[in-house]
Amino acid sequence: MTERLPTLEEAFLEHHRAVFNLAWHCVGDRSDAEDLTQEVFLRYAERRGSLTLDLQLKAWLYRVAVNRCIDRKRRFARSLAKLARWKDQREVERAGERGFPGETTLLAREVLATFDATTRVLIVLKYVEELEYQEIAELTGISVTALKVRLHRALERVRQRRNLEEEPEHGRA
Amino acid sequence: MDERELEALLRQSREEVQATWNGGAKLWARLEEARRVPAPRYRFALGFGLAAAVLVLAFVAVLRSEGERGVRVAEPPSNAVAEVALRVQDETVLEMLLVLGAATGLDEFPLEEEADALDAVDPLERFLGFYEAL
Repeated sequence: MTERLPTLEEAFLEHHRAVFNLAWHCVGDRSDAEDLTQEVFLRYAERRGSLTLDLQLKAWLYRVAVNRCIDRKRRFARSLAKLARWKDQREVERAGERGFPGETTLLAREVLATFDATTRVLIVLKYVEELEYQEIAELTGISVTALKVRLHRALERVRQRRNLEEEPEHGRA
Repeated sequence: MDERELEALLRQSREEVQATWNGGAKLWARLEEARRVPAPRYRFALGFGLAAAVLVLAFVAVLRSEGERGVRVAEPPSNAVAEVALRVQDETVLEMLLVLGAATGLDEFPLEEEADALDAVDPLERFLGFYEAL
């Protein structure tokens, strides 16, 4: 067991990229993801004194981030302007100037944007963070069975959408 | 897109974010700055406390102002007619006459020792007659 929890700076240096990565894939916007990452570490700074020494820091940070992601996306879902921004092609143009987000990242965002907030978080945890079902269940409080069902349905919807998009091409052929 | 394609795309996206996002230093600076200012809930509590204090002070000021006005109303008026006007609400007409007489210092106005003699006359009529004489 460690003698003390990492300081804020130590925690930030070790985990900020991972938290940002998770946040970005969940909210799909750089400034929102940076705000969310900041909130997560501020939360750690506030709570550090009351956390136990055997804390699994990364899991704790992820749990806070996941909760914030879901809350945030619920709010964003009510904003059509926000959704429209997701598809703003100027992001692609700016990407060349800043290097972030790159082409693949933007494509991933487009795909992720088709899922509801909670499903998106589950997909990010499963395929971006590559966590096991049990770990995701512990982070989100959703049972493993329910997770599997939810992810299966989400992927099924993706497949159906793809089939619908391909049908006209087959028809023409 | 099937599961494997989605998995590959998201894994690649993760690597790309890791490689291209370089906002860590800026974010750390923001984080340190944010720690210096009170957290939102403390700011809210502080603002709420200040607003409550201002409201209480304003309320006290209004009460004091009203109180002063009340005292002014209750103060004996400088002229006898106003005195009578105040008393008319809860005194008998005869008492009003006595007060008016005392306040104006008119000796000819009937005082208490003559009150018995006034019983035969309608007190209101006497008062109105005297008031007109003033």
